Amino acid sequence: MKLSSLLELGYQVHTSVSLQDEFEGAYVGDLLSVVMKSAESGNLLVTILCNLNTVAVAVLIDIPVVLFTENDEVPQNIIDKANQEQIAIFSTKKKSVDVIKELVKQEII
Amino acid sequence: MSSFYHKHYTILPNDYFNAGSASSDIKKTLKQLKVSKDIIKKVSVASYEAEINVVIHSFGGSVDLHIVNHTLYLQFTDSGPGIDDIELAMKPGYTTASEISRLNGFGAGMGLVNIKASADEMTLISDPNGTILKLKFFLHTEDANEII
Ligand SMILES: Nc1ncnc2c1ncn2[C@@H]1O[C@H](COP(=O)(O)OP(=O)(O)OP(=O)(O)O)[C@@H](O)[C@H]1O
Ligand SMILES: [Mg+2]
Repeated sequence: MKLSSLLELGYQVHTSVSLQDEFEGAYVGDLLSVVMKSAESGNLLVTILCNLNTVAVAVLIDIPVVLFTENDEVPQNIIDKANQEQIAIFSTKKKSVDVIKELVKQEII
Repeated sequence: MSSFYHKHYTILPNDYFNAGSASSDIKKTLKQLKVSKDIIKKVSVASYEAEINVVIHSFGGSVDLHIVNHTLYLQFTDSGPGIDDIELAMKPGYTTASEISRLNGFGAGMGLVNIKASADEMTLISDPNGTILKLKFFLHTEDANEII
Protein backbone atom coordinates (compact mmCIF):
# COMPACT_ATOMS: atom_id res chain seq x y z
CA MET A 1 0.00 0.00 0.00
CA LYS A 2 1.30 3.47 -0.88
CA LEU A 3 1.88 6.11 1.79
CA SER A 4 -0.38 8.45 -0.18
CA SER A 5 -3.36 6.32 0.91
CA LEU A 6 -2.83 7.66 4.47
CA LEU A 7 -2.95 11.24 3.22
CA GLU A 8 -6.21 10.48 1.41
CA LEU A 9 -7.72 9.45 4.76
CA GLY A 10 -6.95 12.91 6.11
CA TYR A 11 -3.94 12.06 8.25
CA GLN A 12 -1.41 14.84 8.43
CA VAL A 13 2.00 14.22 6.88
CA HIS A 14 5.11 15.79 8.44
CA THR A 15 8.06 14.40 6.49
CA SER A 16 9.39 14.83 2.97
CA VAL A 17 9.64 11.07 2.41
CA SER A 18 8.11 10.06 -0.96
CA LEU A 19 4.40 9.26 -0.71
CA GLN A 20 4.98 6.65 -3.41
CA ASP A 21 6.86 4.55 -0.82
CA GLU A 22 5.05 1.45 0.34
CA PHE A 23 4.06 -0.26 3.57
CA GLU A 24 2.33 -3.54 4.22
CA GLY A 25 0.05 -4.27 7.16
CA ALA A 26 0.15 -2.48 10.49
CA TYR A 27 1.12 -2.90 14.10
CA VAL A 28 -0.33 -1.00 17.07
CA GLY A 29 1.67 -0.58 20.26
CA ASP A 30 2.94 1.94 22.76
CA LEU A 31 5.66 -0.07 24.51
CA LEU A 32 8.83 -0.20 22.47
CA SER A 33 10.02 -3.63 23.62
CA VAL A 34 6.71 -5.10 22.56
CA VAL A 35 6.81 -3.25 19.24
CA MET A 36 10.34 -4.61 18.66
CA LYS A 37 9.18 -8.13 19.39
CA SER A 38 5.98 -8.16 17.40
CA ALA A 39 5.98 -5.61 14.59
CA GLU A 40 7.06 -6.92 11.19
CA SER A 41 9.37 -5.09 8.82
CA GLY A 42 7.38 -3.06 6.32
CA ASN A 43 4.50 -2.47 8.76
CA LEU A 44 2.85 0.86 9.46
CA LEU A 45 3.34 1.55 13.18
CA VAL A 46 0.32 3.15 14.87
CA THR A 47 1.22 4.54 18.31
CA ILE A 48 0.56 7.32 20.78
CA LEU A 49 4.23 7.26 21.69
CA CYS A 50 5.49 10.38 19.98
CA ASN A 51 9.22 10.62 20.73
CA LEU A 52 12.66 10.10 19.26
CA ASN A 53 12.92 6.54 20.54
CA THR A 54 9.92 5.58 18.43
CA VAL A 55 11.82 6.72 15.33
CA ALA A 56 14.96 4.89 16.50
CA VAL A 57 12.98 1.65 16.81
CA ALA A 58 11.37 2.17 13.41
CA VAL A 59 14.83 2.49 11.85
CA LEU A 60 16.13 -0.63 13.58
CA ILE A 61 13.28 -2.92 12.59
CA ASP A 62 12.61 -1.47 9.12
CA ILE A 63 9.29 0.22 9.81
CA PRO A 64 8.86 2.70 6.91
CA VAL A 65 6.03 4.79 8.39
CA VAL A 66 4.77 5.82 11.83
CA LEU A 67 1.32 7.29 12.53
CA PHE A 68 1.07 9.14 15.84
CA THR A 69 -2.45 9.07 17.26
CA GLU A 70 -4.37 11.30 19.71
CA ASN A 71 -2.04 14.08 18.73
CA ASP A 72 -1.67 16.54 15.88
CA GLU A 73 1.57 18.29 16.73
CA VAL A 74 4.85 16.49 16.16
CA PRO A 75 8.00 18.11 17.62
CA GLN A 76 10.49 19.34 15.04
CA ASN A 77 13.37 17.20 16.34
CA ILE A 78 11.34 14.06 15.66
CA ILE A 79 10.50 15.23 12.13
CA ASP A 80 14.16 16.09 11.46
CA LYS A 81 15.38 12.70 12.61
CA ALA A 82 12.67 10.92 10.61
CA ASN A 83 13.58 12.84 7.44
CA GLN A 84 17.22 12.04 7.97
CA GLU A 85 16.43 8.34 8.38
CA GLN A 86 13.81 8.34 5.60
CA ILE A 87 10.97 7.29 7.90
CA ALA A 88 7.59 8.83 7.04
CA ILE A 89 5.66 10.46 9.90
CA PHE A 90 1.90 11.01 9.95
CA SER A 91 -0.33 12.19 12.77
CA THR A 92 -4.01 12.35 13.69
CA LYS A 93 -6.18 13.37 16.63
CA LYS A 94 -8.04 10.09 16.30
CA LYS A 95 -7.51 7.16 18.68
CA SER A 96 -5.48 4.14 17.57
CA VAL A 97 -8.53 1.87 17.64
CA ASP A 98 -10.49 4.22 15.36
CA VAL A 99 -7.55 4.48 12.98
CA ILE A 100 -7.40 0.69 12.70
CA LYS A 101 -11.15 0.49 12.05
CA GLU A 102 -10.75 3.04 9.29
CA LEU A 103 -7.73 1.29 7.72
CA VAL A 104 -9.57 -2.02 7.70
CA LYS A 105 -12.74 -0.47 6.29
CA GLN A 106 -10.79 1.16 3.46
CA GLU A 107 -8.98 -2.15 2.89
CA ILE A 108 -5.61 -0.50 3.48
CA ILE A 109 -4.58 -3.22 5.92
CA MET B 1 39.76 -16.86 4.87
CA SER B 2 39.55 -15.00 8.17
CA SER B 3 38.38 -11.54 9.10
CA PHE B 4 38.23 -9.35 12.17
CA TYR B 5 36.28 -6.22 12.98
CA HIS B 6 36.06 -4.25 16.20
CA LYS B 7 34.26 -1.09 17.27
CA HIS B 8 33.73 0.48 20.69
CA TYR B 9 30.83 2.76 21.65
CA THR B 10 30.24 4.77 24.81
CA ILE B 11 26.71 4.71 26.24
CA LEU B 12 25.69 7.67 28.40
CA PRO B 13 23.22 7.27 31.29
CA ASN B 14 19.78 8.94 30.97
CA ASP B 15 20.61 10.24 27.50
CA TYR B 16 17.25 9.63 25.85
CA PHE B 17 18.27 11.83 22.94
CA ASN B 18 21.14 9.64 21.70
CA ALA B 19 19.79 6.37 23.05
CA GLY B 20 20.04 3.74 20.33
CA SER B 21 22.78 5.42 18.31
CA ALA B 22 25.28 2.60 18.88
CA SER B 23 22.71 0.02 17.77
CA SER B 24 21.89 2.13 14.73
CA ASP B 25 25.54 2.24 13.75
CA ILE B 26 25.92 -1.50 14.32
CA LYS B 27 22.95 -2.12 12.04
CA LYS B 28 24.54 0.05 9.31
CA THR B 29 27.79 -1.91 9.62
CA LEU B 30 25.97 -5.23 9.19
CA LYS B 31 24.13 -3.90 6.14
CA GLN B 32 27.45 -2.94 4.57
CA LEU B 33 28.75 -6.43 5.29
CA LYS B 34 25.64 -7.78 3.50
CA VAL B 35 24.56 -9.84 6.50
CA SER B 36 21.14 -11.38 5.86
CA LYS B 37 18.07 -9.38 6.88
CA ASP B 38 16.76 -11.78 9.50
CA ILE B 39 20.08 -11.74 11.32
CA ILE B 40 20.32 -7.95 11.10
CA LYS B 41 16.92 -7.76 12.74
CA LYS B 42 17.88 -10.12 15.57
CA VAL B 43 21.12 -8.25 16.28
CA SER B 44 19.35 -4.88 16.07
CA VAL B 45 16.59 -5.88 18.49
CA ALA B 46 18.98 -7.37 21.04
CA SER B 47 21.47 -4.54 20.71
CA TYR B 48 18.85 -1.82 21.11
CA GLU B 49 17.27 -3.47 24.16
CA ALA B 50 20.65 -3.89 25.81
CA GLU B 51 21.77 -0.38 24.94
CA ILE B 52 18.55 1.11 26.36
CA ASN B 53 18.99 -0.90 29.55
CA VAL B 54 22.40 0.72 30.03
CA VAL B 55 20.85 4.15 29.34
CA ILE B 56 17.85 3.83 31.65
CA HIS B 57 19.00 1.46 34.40
CA SER B 58 22.73 2.07 34.81
CA PHE B 59 25.33 4.70 35.65
CA GLY B 60 26.58 4.44 32.06
CA GLY B 61 28.83 2.10 30.15
CA SER B 62 29.80 0.91 26.73
CA VAL B 63 29.36 -1.71 24.07
CA ASP B 64 32.01 -3.51 22.06
CA LEU B 65 31.24 -5.07 18.72
CA HIS B 66 33.52 -7.83 17.50
CA ILE B 67 33.08 -9.78 14.33
CA VAL B 68 35.44 -12.70 14.00
CA ASN B 69 34.97 -14.77 10.87
CA HIS B 70 31.27 -15.65 10.89
CA THR B 71 30.52 -14.88 14.51
CA LEU B 72 29.39 -11.55 15.94
CA TYR B 73 29.94 -10.70 19.60
CA LEU B 74 28.38 -7.82 21.52
CA GLN B 75 29.59 -7.04 25.01
CA PHE B 76 27.69 -4.45 27.07
CA THR B 77 29.46 -3.28 30.21
CA ASP B 78 28.24 -0.75 32.74
CA SER B 79 29.42 0.61 36.06
CA GLY B 80 26.47 -0.34 38.27
CA PRO B 81 24.22 -0.40 40.23
CA GLY B 82 23.85 -3.98 38.99
CA ILE B 83 20.89 -6.32 38.86
CA ASP B 84 19.81 -7.66 42.26
CA ASP B 85 18.13 -10.82 41.13
CA ILE B 86 18.90 -11.87 37.56
CA GLU B 87 16.29 -14.62 37.53
CA LEU B 88 13.61 -12.11 38.47
CA ALA B 89 14.89 -9.53 35.98
CA MET B 90 14.58 -12.13 33.19
CA LYS B 91 10.85 -12.69 33.92
CA PRO B 92 8.53 -11.20 31.27
CA GLY B 93 6.88 -8.07 32.66
CA TYR B 94 9.31 -7.49 35.52
CA THR B 95 10.50 -3.89 35.50
CA THR B 96 11.92 -1.22 37.78
CA ALA B 97 11.79 1.40 35.02
CA SER B 98 11.35 4.98 36.20
CA GLU B 99 8.43 7.23 35.31
CA ILE B 100 10.58 9.15 32.84
CA SER B 101 11.73 6.02 31.03
CA ARG B 102 8.11 4.80 30.84
CA LEU B 103 7.14 8.08 29.23
CA ASN B 104 9.81 7.33 26.64
CA GLY B 105 8.17 4.03 25.78
CA PHE B 106 10.29 1.72 27.92
CA GLY B 107 9.40 -0.40 30.92
CA ALA B 108 7.39 -3.27 29.47
CA GLY B 109 9.76 -5.63 31.24
CA MET B 110 10.38 -7.39 27.93
CA GLY B 111 13.89 -6.26 27.04
CA LEU B 112 15.89 -9.15 28.50
CA VAL B 113 13.28 -11.60 27.19
CA ASN B 114 13.68 -10.17 23.68
CA ILE B 115 17.46 -10.30 23.98
CA LYS B 116 17.42 -13.93 25.01
CA ALA B 117 15.07 -14.83 22.18
CA SER B 118 17.20 -12.97 19.60
CA ALA B 119 20.75 -13.97 20.49
CA ASP B 120 22.25 -17.37 19.75
CA GLU B 121 24.01 -17.23 23.12
CA MET B 122 23.61 -14.90 26.08
CA THR B 123 25.61 -14.52 29.30
CA LEU B 124 24.58 -12.02 31.97
CA ILE B 125 26.67 -11.37 35.05
CA SER B 126 26.09 -8.63 37.55
CA ASP B 127 27.08 -7.27 40.92
CA PRO B 128 26.74 -3.81 42.50
CA ASN B 129 29.86 -2.65 40.63
CA GLY B 130 28.33 -3.32 37.27
CA THR B 131 26.68 -5.58 34.76
CA ILE B 132 28.22 -7.41 31.81
CA LEU B 133 26.01 -8.79 29.09
CA LYS B 134 27.66 -10.91 26.42
CA LEU B 135 25.80 -11.87 23.28
CA LYS B 136 26.83 -14.10 20.42
CA PHE B 137 25.26 -14.37 16.96
CA PHE B 138 26.14 -16.67 14.09
CA LEU B 139 26.19 -14.72 10.84
CA HIS B 140 25.45 -15.59 7.28
CA THR B 141 25.17 -13.29 4.29
CA GLU B 142 22.34 -12.92 1.74
CA ASP B 143 24.59 -14.75 -0.63
CA ALA B 144 25.60 -17.96 1.08
CA ASN B 145 28.85 -18.10 -0.89
CA GLU B 146 30.05 -14.73 0.24
CA ILE B 147 32.59 -14.59 3.03
CA ILE B 148 32.17 -11.78 5.53
N1 LIG C 1 22.15 -2.80 32.86
C1 LIG C 1 21.31 -2.90 33.89
N2 LIG C 1 21.65 -2.39 35.11
C2 LIG C 1 20.80 -2.49 36.16
N3 LIG C 1 19.60 -3.08 36.09
C3 LIG C 1 19.20 -3.61 34.92
C4 LIG C 1 20.03 -3.55 33.76
N4 LIG C 1 19.38 -4.18 32.75
C5 LIG C 1 18.22 -4.60 33.25
N5 LIG C 1 18.08 -4.27 34.56
C6 LIG C 1 16.98 -4.62 35.48
O1 LIG C 1 16.23 -5.68 34.90
C7 LIG C 1 14.86 -5.28 34.72
C8 LIG C 1 14.29 -5.96 33.48
O2 LIG C 1 14.96 -5.48 32.32
P1 LIG C 1 14.21 -5.56 30.92
O3 LIG C 1 15.08 -4.98 29.88
O4 LIG C 1 13.73 -6.96 30.70
O5 LIG C 1 12.90 -4.66 31.13
P2 LIG C 1 12.81 -3.06 31.27
O6 LIG C 1 14.08 -2.44 30.81
O7 LIG C 1 12.38 -2.76 32.65
O8 LIG C 1 11.63 -2.74 30.26
P3 LIG C 1 11.71 -2.83 28.65
O9 LIG C 1 13.04 -3.40 28.29
O10 LIG C 1 10.59 -3.72 28.25
O11 LIG C 1 11.54 -1.44 28.15
C9 LIG C 1 14.91 -3.77 34.65
O12 LIG C 1 13.68 -3.15 34.99
C10 LIG C 1 16.01 -3.46 35.69
O13 LIG C 1 15.49 -3.57 37.00
MG1 LIG D 1 14.92 -2.99 28.98
